Amino acid sequence: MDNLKQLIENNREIFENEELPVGHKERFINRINRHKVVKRDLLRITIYLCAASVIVFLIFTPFILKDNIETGCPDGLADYKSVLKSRSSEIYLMADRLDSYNKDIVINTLDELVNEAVPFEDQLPSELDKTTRSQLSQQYYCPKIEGVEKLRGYVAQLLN
Amino acid sequence: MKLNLNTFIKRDLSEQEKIYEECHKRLYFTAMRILNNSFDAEEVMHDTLLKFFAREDKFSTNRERDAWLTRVCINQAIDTLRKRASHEMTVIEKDIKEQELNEDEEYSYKGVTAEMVKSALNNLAAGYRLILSLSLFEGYDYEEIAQITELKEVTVRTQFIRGKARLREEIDKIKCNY
Repeated sequence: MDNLKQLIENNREIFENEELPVGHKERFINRINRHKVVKRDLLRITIYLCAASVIVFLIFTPFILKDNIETGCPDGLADYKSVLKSRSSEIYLMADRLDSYNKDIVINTLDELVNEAVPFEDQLPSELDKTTRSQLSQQYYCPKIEGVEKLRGYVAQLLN
Repeated sequence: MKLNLNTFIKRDLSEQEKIYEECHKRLYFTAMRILNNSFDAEEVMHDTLLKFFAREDKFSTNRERDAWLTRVCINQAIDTLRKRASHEMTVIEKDIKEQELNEDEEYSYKGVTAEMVKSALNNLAAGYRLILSLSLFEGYDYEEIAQITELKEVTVRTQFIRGKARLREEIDKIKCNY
C-alpha cells in the first residue's frame, strides 16, 4: 500500500470528523414526507382517473348502443339485406303518393342506395376469414341502412 | 434497479430513520470529498437514501447494501459535479513522464498530518479530487474508477498520478505555512 493510502487508513476518523450541516435529519424527514404525499397523491389521482373512465364508459355505452339500435343496423348479412328490402318497399309505397318530380328523385336515390350490380359479399376475396367478412359487410351495409332511413324520413316530411 | 411506489410508502418511518442513522455519515463524507460543498453533499446523501427507500429488492447483507449506497452516492455526486461546472471536470490527457511516476515513491509523508492532507485535498480541482477520493478513500481500482467516471482506464491512471503530484504540492505549501 502506498504511503498516502496508509496515512489515510490510519487516520480515517480525522477525515470524517466534521459536523454535518445543522438540521440535516429534519430536512431529510421533510423530504421523505413530501415524497410520500406526492406519491400518495399520484396514486389517488390514478385511482380517480380509473374510476372516472369507468363512469364515463358506463354513462356513454347505452347511448352508443342506442345509436346503433336506432340506425337499425342489425348483425349478419341476411339481416342487412332484409332490413334494406323492407325499408325500400315502404319507401316505394310512400313515393307513389308524391308528385312525379319528387317521386323520380326519391326512386333514383333509393336505387342508388340499394341496388348492387355485384353483391358486396361476392366482391370480397375468398381468403378472408368469417369475422373480417362480417366486419366489412357491417361497414358497407350500415351506412346504406342509415341512408335509407334518412330517405324515408325525407319522404314522410314531403307527404306531410 | 426496481423502484416501487408502494415500497416507498409502506416502509416504516422508524425503519427509515434507523437506516439513515447507520448510513448517512459515510454517504455524506463520500459526497463531500467529491463535491467539496456541504449543501450539495447533503442533497446527494438525501437523494441516495431516498432512492434506496424506493427500492423494491432487499439486500441479503449490510455489506451489499452499503456497496450499493456508496455506488449510487458517487454517481449522484458525479452528476452534480458535471452539472455544476464542466470545466472543473476537464481532463488533460498528456502522457505521464517516467520522472512523475517515481516522484510519489520518493516523497516522504513524514511530518504530514491527516489535517494537512485533508486541506490539500480540498484545494485540488474537482477532477483530481474525484479520482483520488475514489481510489484512496473508497478503495476502487483504476478499472472500476474508469467504469464509474466513464473515462478511459489510462486517463484515470494519468489523472491519479497527476492528482497526487498536485496534492504533494499543496501539502508542501501547507507545511510551509505551519
